[in-house]
Amino acid sequence: MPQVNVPTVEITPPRALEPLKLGELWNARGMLFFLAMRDVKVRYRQTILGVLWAVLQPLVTMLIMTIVFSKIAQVKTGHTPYPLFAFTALLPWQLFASCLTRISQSVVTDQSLVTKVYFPRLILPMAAVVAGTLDFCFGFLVLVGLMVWYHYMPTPMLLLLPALMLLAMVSAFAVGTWIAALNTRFRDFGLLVPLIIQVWLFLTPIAYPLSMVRASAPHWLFFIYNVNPVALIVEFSRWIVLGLSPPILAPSLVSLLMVAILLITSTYFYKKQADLFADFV
Amino acid sequence: MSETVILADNLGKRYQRGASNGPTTLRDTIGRWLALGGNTAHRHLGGAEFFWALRNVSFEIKRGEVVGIIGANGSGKSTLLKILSRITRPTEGRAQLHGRIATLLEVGTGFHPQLTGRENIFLNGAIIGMSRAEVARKFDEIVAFSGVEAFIETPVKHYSSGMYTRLAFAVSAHLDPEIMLVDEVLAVGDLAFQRRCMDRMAKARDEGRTILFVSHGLSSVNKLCSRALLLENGCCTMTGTSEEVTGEYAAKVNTAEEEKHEPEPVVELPPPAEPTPARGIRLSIVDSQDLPRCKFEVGESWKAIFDFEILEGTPDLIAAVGITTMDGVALQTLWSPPSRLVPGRYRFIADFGLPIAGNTYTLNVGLAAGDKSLYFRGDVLYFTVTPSTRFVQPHRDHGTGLLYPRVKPDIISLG
Repeated sequence: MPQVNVPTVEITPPRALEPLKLGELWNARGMLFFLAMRDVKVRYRQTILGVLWAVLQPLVTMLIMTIVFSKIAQVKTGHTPYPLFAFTALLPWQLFASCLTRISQSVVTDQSLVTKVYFPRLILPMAAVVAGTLDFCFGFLVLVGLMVWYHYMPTPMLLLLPALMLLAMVSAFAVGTWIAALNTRFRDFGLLVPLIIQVWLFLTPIAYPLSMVRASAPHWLFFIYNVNPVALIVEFSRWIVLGLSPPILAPSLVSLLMVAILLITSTYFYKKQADLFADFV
Repeated sequence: MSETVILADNLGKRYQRGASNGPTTLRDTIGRWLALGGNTAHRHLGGAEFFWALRNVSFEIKRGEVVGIIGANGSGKSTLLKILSRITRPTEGRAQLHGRIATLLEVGTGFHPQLTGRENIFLNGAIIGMSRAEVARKFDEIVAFSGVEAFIETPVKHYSSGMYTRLAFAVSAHLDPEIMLVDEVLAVGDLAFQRRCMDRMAKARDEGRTILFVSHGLSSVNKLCSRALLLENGCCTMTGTSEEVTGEYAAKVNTAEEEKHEPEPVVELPPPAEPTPARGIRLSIVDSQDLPRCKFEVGESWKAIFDFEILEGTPDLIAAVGITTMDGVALQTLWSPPSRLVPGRYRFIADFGLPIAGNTYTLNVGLAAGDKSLYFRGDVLYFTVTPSTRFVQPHRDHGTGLLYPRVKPDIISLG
């Protein structure tokens, strides 16, 4: 047997602060893709709606929003037709929300994996996020359809689409990993997630334009409102797809900083909780 | 030159009794803060009882060694394997492993119930660290080994636990790991599968891989392992050759069992729940004077007397008494010739005449008509054979064999 390249494993008791071991994560990327594919397959095998669901959800939400906000509440969205305005925001929102939901479920559904096999536990939320992107791709086709319907020409800004996806995925990962870590500590925390998502939906300028908030809120409140990372995502989406004004700089930078902090703290916290997880099952 | 492949240094694992340190619920935690109630079981963190599942365990395993780990339930064997396979972290101490590790703990390592066997093979291969191409190459071998070809395209939620384990073992076994950590998985397979597992592990051993094998099957440990560790209450109390350690363990269990059951030389057999054509009435064990006894010295003669009743006349009834050691090794079964019997009571005297060495034994009884078993009871009676002073050669209770020698061949010179 070749003696070169024999991996050495060190087993030690947990310390207060431990390195993230990103190299290990990279080596486990095969497993990452497998877990993501597994989630996707299971999802699409279980329901006949399967693929349709990825498309139906934002579509139906958009229709309801159009009826409630545009027709009944008479919310104005300038030159952009309301359905397109809403859907452009709904799509990345969908990516964010579904990644969040998947992550909070992953620790529970993969209990058997965690207690029987060793693998870098951070793979779990990462796989959940990767699985969410497939739905986004289907939804994007619908967006293209809508743009054609309303005769909207795509601008070269659309090339920034991968940046949008990355932003949504990283934000979802940062928040979701926090939730997953809290979920291992407080078993009922996951129950809060649907509620959190619902509230978040309305705190983000999806159904209504940002200009309405600016007009009715004091300056400092408006700033805080914009620190919401999803607000940044949604405004970014509208900017590159519809050519509307770009996200406001100052709060966006704060938002990015917040995501970065959440990202780093959540990975450390999650890793720490995950180490103990097998002990309490 | 043999290098150390597994090094364990003072490993310890402490658990807290009660759930005070585990996950609670948000509802209870907030309830506690606001003093509104909630589950009060989580309240007292101070006064928590600790217990050490493992303490001060150190050992060194060199490349190519096959080491068995034995001990009673709760002695810490599974905890040790969990630590070595990084499922859980130790509370103190450290360990080092050199090489790719494949572990097999319990059943269904990471199988997803909704996916088929095929998909799960690829998934588990990825989990263990095989690339997709590697798994594809070995796919047929893995399926053939597991014996679930017919169900490979069925979702594994339809598999029995035996099929699960066989598939899981098949995947791990074909990984070509340098180190294999195996935990009592053989208990779930049938005889053919157990045989295949043992063969596979023997092959791995011959290829120079290192195996750590946790098992209750003392004879498998003896067959496969060169060395063994005995764990008792979380501590490693003995290391040595597998014969030494298994013998020591068996001896301890025997004395403990003896103290628990006061052996009865005569056992009345209860009538079976459903009416049968034949049933046993009584089993007794007697010495050369026909006095019931359950302690004999090595070399003393004894016989088993099996009384039974026939309720329906049978043309070819066979009575049998079998003797088995405490670790489950069947020594011999004596059968009567097939007899034509009318309803009534009968006696079968089993005079084994075997030169059994010191140990604790148990007797099984059975009645059959031709090929069909009519009645069977296992472990009906225990009796012990103790070393005697009558033989010049000291006979150990273990190590030299299940039977004591009746000849002492001389040495012949060949010039």
